[in-house]
Amino acid sequence: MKEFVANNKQLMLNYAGLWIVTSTGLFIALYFFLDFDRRLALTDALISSTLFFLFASALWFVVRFSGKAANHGYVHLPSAILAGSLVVLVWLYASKMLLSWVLPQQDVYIAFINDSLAFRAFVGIGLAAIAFLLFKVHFLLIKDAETRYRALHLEELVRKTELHALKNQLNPHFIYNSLNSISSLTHTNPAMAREMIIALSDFLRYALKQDAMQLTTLAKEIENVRLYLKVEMLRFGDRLQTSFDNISPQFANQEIPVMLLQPLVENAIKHGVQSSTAPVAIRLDIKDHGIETVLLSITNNYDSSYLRFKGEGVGLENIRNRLRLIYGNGRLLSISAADNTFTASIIIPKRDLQNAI
Amino acid sequence: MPFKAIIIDDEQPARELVKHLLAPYNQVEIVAECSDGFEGIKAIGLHKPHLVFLDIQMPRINGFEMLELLDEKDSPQIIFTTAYDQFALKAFEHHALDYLLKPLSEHRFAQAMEKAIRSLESGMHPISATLKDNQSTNYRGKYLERIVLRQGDALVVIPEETILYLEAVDDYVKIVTLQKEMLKKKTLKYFEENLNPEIFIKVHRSYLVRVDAIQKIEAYSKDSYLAFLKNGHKVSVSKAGYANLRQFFR
Repeated sequence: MKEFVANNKQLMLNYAGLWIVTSTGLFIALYFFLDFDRRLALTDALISSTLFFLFASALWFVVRFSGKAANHGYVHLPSAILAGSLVVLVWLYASKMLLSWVLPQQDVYIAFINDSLAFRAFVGIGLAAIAFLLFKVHFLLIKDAETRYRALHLEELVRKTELHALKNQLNPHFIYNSLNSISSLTHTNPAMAREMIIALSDFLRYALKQDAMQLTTLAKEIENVRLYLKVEMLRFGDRLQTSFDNISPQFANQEIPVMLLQPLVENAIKHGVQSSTAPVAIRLDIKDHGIETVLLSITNNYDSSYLRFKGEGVGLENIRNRLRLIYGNGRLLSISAADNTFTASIIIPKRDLQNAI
Repeated sequence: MPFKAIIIDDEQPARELVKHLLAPYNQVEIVAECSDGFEGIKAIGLHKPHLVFLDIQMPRINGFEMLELLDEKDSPQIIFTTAYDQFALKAFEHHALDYLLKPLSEHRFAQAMEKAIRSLESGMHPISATLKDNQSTNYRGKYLERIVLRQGDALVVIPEETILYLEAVDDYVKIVTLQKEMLKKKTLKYFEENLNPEIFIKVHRSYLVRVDAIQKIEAYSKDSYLAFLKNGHKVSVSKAGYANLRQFFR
């Protein structure tokens, strides 16, 4: 809400500026052109101008309320004229009263005030119009800034909430389909059913409990992907083939954000296994990528006669956002599809997790 | 005479579960199990089942596409079995007998079977479960991403992005790509409604054309034009079609 306050401060400065200009103008008119005594001219100029801007500040509320009530953002003209006239009338009366009170025994000057009422009213109307304009411009500026601020803030909030809720990354249909398979196993192989329930629970525990910013070791992350694959292999049988065992021990403690690999494997299953009648192999490769980074790649074959790649899904987008949030670079994830093979690669900084959880 | 049933699901344990749940029904005989939609079509043509348990998401062609390709004379009762709840409406529009969510509940399964047996025993010919003409077979997005066809025993998949134009020919629609031309028993109106209107424009009563495929348009007679496509074909453009195109390019 910083912008809002700054805008109001600006309004007050402008309003004060208008007051100074008006007071000076009145003084110049009275002192230089009408040849009144300096004290008289100064008193009239200051009192008239100050009173006017005190009363005219009420116009701000007219602008604000009519601006809020009407969506089109225009001030309702009749109510503006009414409010303006009221301000001018009250001002004329009050300034005359106050001046006669602070300037006793100045009958000539009081007579001048009475004579110049029409002129004063004219000046008042002009000033009221200027005040209106100033308020209006400020009102629109504030509203605009507020809208932009809210939009920006909301966007950020939504993004953060989405990212932090890792459970949104989980595909509920995976859970429903797995439970259906397990339900089937309870008849054919109850021991296997129990084993699968444990695998699914362990996977869900890992996936649901952690924050999206959380880091873990590559060994733990891969262990979790294996749990996931164990459940998926129950569903797909021989159609799903995996090789996740050739991971060199040097990477066991490599740091990696939690649940970074699983969505990529799930993607491979969705577009590979679930779209093909032939077996699909999913492979994970980990290797050094220069001195400071590690390259993780997940490849799978797919049946190109039934499937086209049409941009990226929500899953990949989510990973990109997390990489941006954690490492400040969403391009650490890249994908490619060629010769019926799909590859998703992630580059992460090479370092061991300090306090492994 | 027992009722014949076919189970179509790409996941073996899921088929196993349906089989298990069907075991108490002596009057139902499982004549085939299929692991994708195309096998399903062949099995349905061969066995003429009374009842089909059908998954939606499957390799090659999905459950809706399979229904579209069924012979009109094969019209089994369809019970959908899927983990997706969002296609129930679409399934019932396709005259599904029931829509069961995975994991399957024994109670709901029994209800569906009661319905199925009542309808089969009453000798009522089941309402055709083939697709109504205007139903899209894509279950993921709003517009068709591909068109599936049967050519004898083979299955042809035409991705939307390879189609140059479609032409109404009697009861069929001719689908033209760079490599081939195929006929599908549908109306042009169906494609007009289910292909992305940002990509395909109706330029004539009988032609729906991919805008990108048009190379130039020439006046042909007073009220008609001719569009030259990138495969060398020429397509008639009516006055109204020309107006459609102009609106698109404006």
